[in-house]
Amino acid sequence: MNALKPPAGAGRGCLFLFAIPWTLIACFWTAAALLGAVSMVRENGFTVWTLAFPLFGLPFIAIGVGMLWYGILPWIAGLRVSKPEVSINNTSVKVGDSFTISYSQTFKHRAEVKGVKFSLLVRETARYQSGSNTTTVHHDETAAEFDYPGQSYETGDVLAFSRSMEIPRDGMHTFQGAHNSIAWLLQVKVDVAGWPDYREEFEIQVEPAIAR
Amino acid sequence: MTNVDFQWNVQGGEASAGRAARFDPGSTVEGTVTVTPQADLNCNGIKIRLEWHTEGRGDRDRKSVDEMVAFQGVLAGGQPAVFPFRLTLPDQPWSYTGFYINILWEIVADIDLPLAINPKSHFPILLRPRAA
Repeated sequence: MNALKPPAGAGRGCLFLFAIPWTLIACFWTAAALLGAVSMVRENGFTVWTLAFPLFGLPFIAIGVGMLWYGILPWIAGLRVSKPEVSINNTSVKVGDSFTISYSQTFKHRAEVKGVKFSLLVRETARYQSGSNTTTVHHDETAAEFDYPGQSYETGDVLAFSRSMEIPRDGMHTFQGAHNSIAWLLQVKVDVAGWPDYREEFEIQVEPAIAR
Repeated sequence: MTNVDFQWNVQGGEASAGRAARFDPGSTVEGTVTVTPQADLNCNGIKIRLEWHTEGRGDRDRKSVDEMVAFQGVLAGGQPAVFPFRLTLPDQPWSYTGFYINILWEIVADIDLPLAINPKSHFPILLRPRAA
């Protein structure tokens, strides 16, 4: 069995770390502006313009909170379910290969799962430079997907199953260039009632050969 | 700008209507390129390269995988000169057409001229195994 791993990338962790000083500075700036506005109201009375500075800081706080929430979401989602263990029966997957995915995930707390969605997708990632900015864009194409029915899970219960999937014969192998890449991913989304969805992706290395 | 006429004759591969010929990964591509300059050309070399590059949204990735120097010296104006070539295709990357990324293979004939823009000609091919 070949254990699959999530694709490399800092992503949300870096965003979360960046969001902490951003939000703190935005809060500090807005609080200072609010104190200034209060003293101005005491001296000169209320005008609409006294609120301008404190209100200016609010969108920055909202952006900071949004980044914090986005960064912390996987951690909150992971409070109910453990990281899944995903493996495939092939040590080397070729274009056109069929393989069996074994999935196992333990529930840390009671959870009402509405459904689990698995998608086999090919992701194009293109990075380009425009002036001093570097932009990365992604495009996902779903090759196959299936749903696992929802049910209630108690603490310690395990969601486990095996399922056969196939890389299409007219598909592409994994490609890694300096600015462009093509990757095959197994995307998992566990929809827990009243709780953020648990999402995870696992990379499947597809060799440049056709399965016989 | 130097005017040069290039004529390609590439053998092998699997031809399909309206598309470039398909070649299997690991195979060889051979043929001839006929070069006819309008005037005498003193060239440092005629290089025939096998290369791929990406097109699409991302910055370009490119790699030359095989190259041969077919000729060095003076090409006579108006006289067709035929240069055979034989290049080996690698296993990857396969030709690909996607949403943001295209991977294109081609054979390039590049006349290296001193202190002038090199006349070039590109012959596109597909590198991909037969799916069925």
